Amino acid sequence: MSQSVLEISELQLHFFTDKGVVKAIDGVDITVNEGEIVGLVGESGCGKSVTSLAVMGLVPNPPGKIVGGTIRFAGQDITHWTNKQMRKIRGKDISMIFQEPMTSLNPLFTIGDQMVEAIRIHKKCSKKEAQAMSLSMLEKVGIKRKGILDLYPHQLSGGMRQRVMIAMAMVLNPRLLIADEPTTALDVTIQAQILDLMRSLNKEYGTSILLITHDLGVVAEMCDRVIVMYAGQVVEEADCCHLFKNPTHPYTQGLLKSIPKLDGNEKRLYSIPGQVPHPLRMPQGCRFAPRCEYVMDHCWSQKPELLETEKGHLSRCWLHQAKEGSGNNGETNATNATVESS
Amino acid sequence: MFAYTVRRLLMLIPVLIGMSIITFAVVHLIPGDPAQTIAGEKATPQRVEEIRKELGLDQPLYKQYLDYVKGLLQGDLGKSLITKRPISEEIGPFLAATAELVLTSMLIAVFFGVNLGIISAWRQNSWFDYTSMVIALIGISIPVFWLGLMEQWLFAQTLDWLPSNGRMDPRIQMVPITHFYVIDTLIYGDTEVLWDVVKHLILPAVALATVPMAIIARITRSSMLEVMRSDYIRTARAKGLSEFWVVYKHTLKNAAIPVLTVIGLQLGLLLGGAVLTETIFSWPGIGRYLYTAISERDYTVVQSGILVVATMFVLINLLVDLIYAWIDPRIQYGRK
Repeated sequence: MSQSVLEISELQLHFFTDKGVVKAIDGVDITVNEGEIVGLVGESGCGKSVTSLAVMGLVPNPPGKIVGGTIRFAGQDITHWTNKQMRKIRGKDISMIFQEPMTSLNPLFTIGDQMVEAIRIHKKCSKKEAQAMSLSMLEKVGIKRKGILDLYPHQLSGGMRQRVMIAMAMVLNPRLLIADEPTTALDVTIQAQILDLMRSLNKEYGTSILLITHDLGVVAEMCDRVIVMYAGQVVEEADCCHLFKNPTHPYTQGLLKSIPKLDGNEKRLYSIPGQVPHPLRMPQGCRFAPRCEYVMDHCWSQKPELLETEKGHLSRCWLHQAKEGSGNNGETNATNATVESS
Repeated sequence: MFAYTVRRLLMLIPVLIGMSIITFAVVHLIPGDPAQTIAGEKATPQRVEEIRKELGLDQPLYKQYLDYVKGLLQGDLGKSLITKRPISEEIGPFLAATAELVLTSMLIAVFFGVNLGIISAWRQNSWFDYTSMVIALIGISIPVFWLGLMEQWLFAQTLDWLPSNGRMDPRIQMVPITHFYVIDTLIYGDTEVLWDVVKHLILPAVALATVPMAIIARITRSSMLEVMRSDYIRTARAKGLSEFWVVYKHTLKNAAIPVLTVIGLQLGLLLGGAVLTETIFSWPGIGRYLYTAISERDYTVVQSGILVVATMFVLINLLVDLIYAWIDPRIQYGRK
């Protein structure tokens, strides 16, 4: 059994705003094992980016505050580490790349300046050595352009900038790379190249990757395991293949159904009805209840738990919990129906 | 950078030509017969004719302008009607006095303004932020002459800590070299006189610094806040960079452009607009020189004074533009 690099359990992070408490993350469990690529999927605003920022300790406080649960990194509880403690692992043991390569590099410093800085924050070495390290890392991510270190970000294309970001994140060989929608802003051919690059770095260095995305295609391509989030909670978790073959949560089913199929002859693309609940007005019971096809009476009032439906497959839905519990016939039928339909 | 500098210098030429036309017009905009007006109502006709000749007003207009520009190119600003001395010689010490005062107050304004703005942005919505922004608002609103008088009343008259006017103790004898007294005393190596000069500088410099400091603080704050929200600042933090470097290296450099613009404009404004402060503190600067010239109807001095101040303004803005390009490499490329 491989060791876990990142272990988030029962994490609750709330934003205390003037208008009320926004429960951005409300009970999230995520484990990333050594060398594993885990996908974190969900719509905009479901809390996936906040989760990743929480791991980095970069959620602005105030208004954001961790009110419950723990984050363990490489065996250490880093939940309440100070900024000063976090700085020592940020960029060195945990690195992060962001969605917007166009704006994620400082426009007024050269690529060389920014890479050398990233190295010398954590490693005692001369500027020359840091430059050499930067060059060899840039070469690994496929940038062999001469004089690259003296260029400014605006002289590079989006794909190149994202490569630079990856090189910067990987140059100190971190144990965990958090990639927050790394390919969303890029066009499709570049997307594939960046994903290939990340996978090969994962193989070569054994770096674990937490890949945050809303693109199930990317997940299928890359990930060993998938975690689906909805409205600040994990609703389903499974091995990648298993999830695609056998999604148990109605939200995941909806997500999968809304992928356009080339062979299909549907006239209209499927979409999950309704909208993500307003963060200040979360439903009392199951958060997906207002949009769920299989909603039942007690879904509105009681919160479902994240429980194992099969080995390694977790789901937060009354459809499956009722199986073991009250034994309501209607629910069981509904479950079977969903499984068959998918 | 070189090409950009050359291009920017070439753009200066039409501006300077425009300025020379406007200042040339100053004398010709005097209503009625300029020579008569300048000579005064009681002047004899001979005196009026003398002045007309002296100013070349008997020549055709285009020739007058060409002569004027020719003079300017040779560094000849004309002669004062009152003292009969060349203005280019006379104006130097006044200009130096103003420059010394204005540069000192800009140093104060930039140091305090920028740092107040940075800390306010960094600790947004804290008591420090609120207090410094209220101070900034008061600073913008206070009339400079009132502040100057209050300073004199408190620090010179009541507490007797600092001298109330002039550039140095009148009993001190010093042959000025650069007319920047701080530099002169340093050259002479006389620390006692230096201290006296510095003491004389403090009150007028603080009075003059208040408004630009307040403006700089507010612009710095808003510019910093905008930059702090950007993605590359998050990247800088994600690298493990300490908050100090995130703020003073990554944020400040990006926030600097609007701040620089304001600094340049304020510096230019102060050079010509220090009249009130110079009058209150009896500071023998260019503002007072012009003020006296206007009240004595010394039109040639007014003409040249305006030209000199305007040229300084243009040169400062040129400098600001060059600094932009040095800070932000995208600016040079953008104009290609």
